[in-house]
Amino acid sequence: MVALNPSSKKADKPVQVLLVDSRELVRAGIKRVLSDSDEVTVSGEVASCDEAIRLARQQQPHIVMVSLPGSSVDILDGARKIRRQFPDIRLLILSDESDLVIQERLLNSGVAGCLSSLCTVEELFAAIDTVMKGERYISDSLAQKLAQRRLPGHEGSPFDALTHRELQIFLLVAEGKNAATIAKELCLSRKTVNGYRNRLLAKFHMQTEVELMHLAIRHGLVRVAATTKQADVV
Amino acid sequence: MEQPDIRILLVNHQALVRCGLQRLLNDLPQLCVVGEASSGEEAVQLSRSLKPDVVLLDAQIPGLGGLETTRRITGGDPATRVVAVALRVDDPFPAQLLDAGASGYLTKNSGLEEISDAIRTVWRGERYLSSDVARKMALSMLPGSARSPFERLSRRELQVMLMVAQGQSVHDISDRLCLSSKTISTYRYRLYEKLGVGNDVELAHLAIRHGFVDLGLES
Repeated sequence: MVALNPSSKKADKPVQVLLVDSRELVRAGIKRVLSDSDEVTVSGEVASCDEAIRLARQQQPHIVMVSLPGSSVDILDGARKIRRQFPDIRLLILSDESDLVIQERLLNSGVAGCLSSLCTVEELFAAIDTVMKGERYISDSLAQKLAQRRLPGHEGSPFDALTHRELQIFLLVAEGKNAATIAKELCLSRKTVNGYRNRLLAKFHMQTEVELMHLAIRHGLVRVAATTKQADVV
Repeated sequence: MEQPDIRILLVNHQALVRCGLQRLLNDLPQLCVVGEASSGEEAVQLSRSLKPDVVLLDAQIPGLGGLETTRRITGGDPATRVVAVALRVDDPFPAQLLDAGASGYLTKNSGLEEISDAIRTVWRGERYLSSDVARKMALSMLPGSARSPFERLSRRELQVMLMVAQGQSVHDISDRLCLSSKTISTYRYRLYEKLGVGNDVELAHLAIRHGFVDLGLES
């Protein structure tokens, strides 16, 4: 799975990385690790992909590194936007290992590298090196999982057949957004959003949005962790 | 007189973040990271053997989880202070972590300066809450507000809430409870209001977070 990226920036100067993470503490940590090496400078750090796009226009970094936990839609849409506006900037995505569906989509959409958010410092630098050479980087465990999915007899993911738009709406519904909000966010009419939702329900043979949400949680696409155990209440 | 070092155990499952924080904290005066753990179990073990002054704990550490890890660490040695760092939206609620024995609570918006403040504050034996959390907690303690929003529900409301959160349709629920669909919908809207949510999916999120619905996903 190695594809050449035609653009090539010389690596004799430090690699400039723009960091995207909504958690200030995590940004500070990753920034420190990267800045401690001679090969990398962190040109900026922001909390969202929209801010990254604004900053990337001024800075033209070599790499935008995105680690947005929690919302798969944010990563998927953010990466798409950045790719579209800055085809020469390499995108490196850190995400939960369970997000196989999302990582596969990201790779198909042309991001340069996908890493587990649990990667080591060495692995992060290896990934930066690799994408700076114009190659693509996939973590070992992700490569394993992707390869296995391509073996005959392996059951595909139920999300394979969804278009980008369908997946986007599926995730937003599963996160608890209502039709009006989704319509506004995606610049669609409410009727269109409801049409998508009904099609999704039909595809998965389900009756309620809550069932869609359960499906998303079971596949690690939406995180909702129980923080207390209730005694039998009823 | 030189102040003694504050010995810190760093608990986070992301190696990158641990590495960065360790370097950042060690650069600050008086702070010294003496150990790192990547799971709840490891954190409990290391806090026993290293006896750190302060444990900086990812509130959703894999394994035991933030609550149980906090309980075991402070139960084992009440002199060890725990500062919980809630980095995700579905982290345990502040009140639960404080009940479990944590002395401090930070959120994903807390920067290095605030972490350093929090560590020093709990080390002196005081509590530290990031300001956004403090405000929310103060409001929730005003008269008339229950600790858990679910405490305000009637038996019937609780029943409907559970069925909605399990993914049952209004039609199914009305069949099972022998009530009209209209009555069920009335219950749903009352639930939305009492729980402060806007739709069924949000209601289900809240129910799962409070442990009412088991999705069979033990992490």
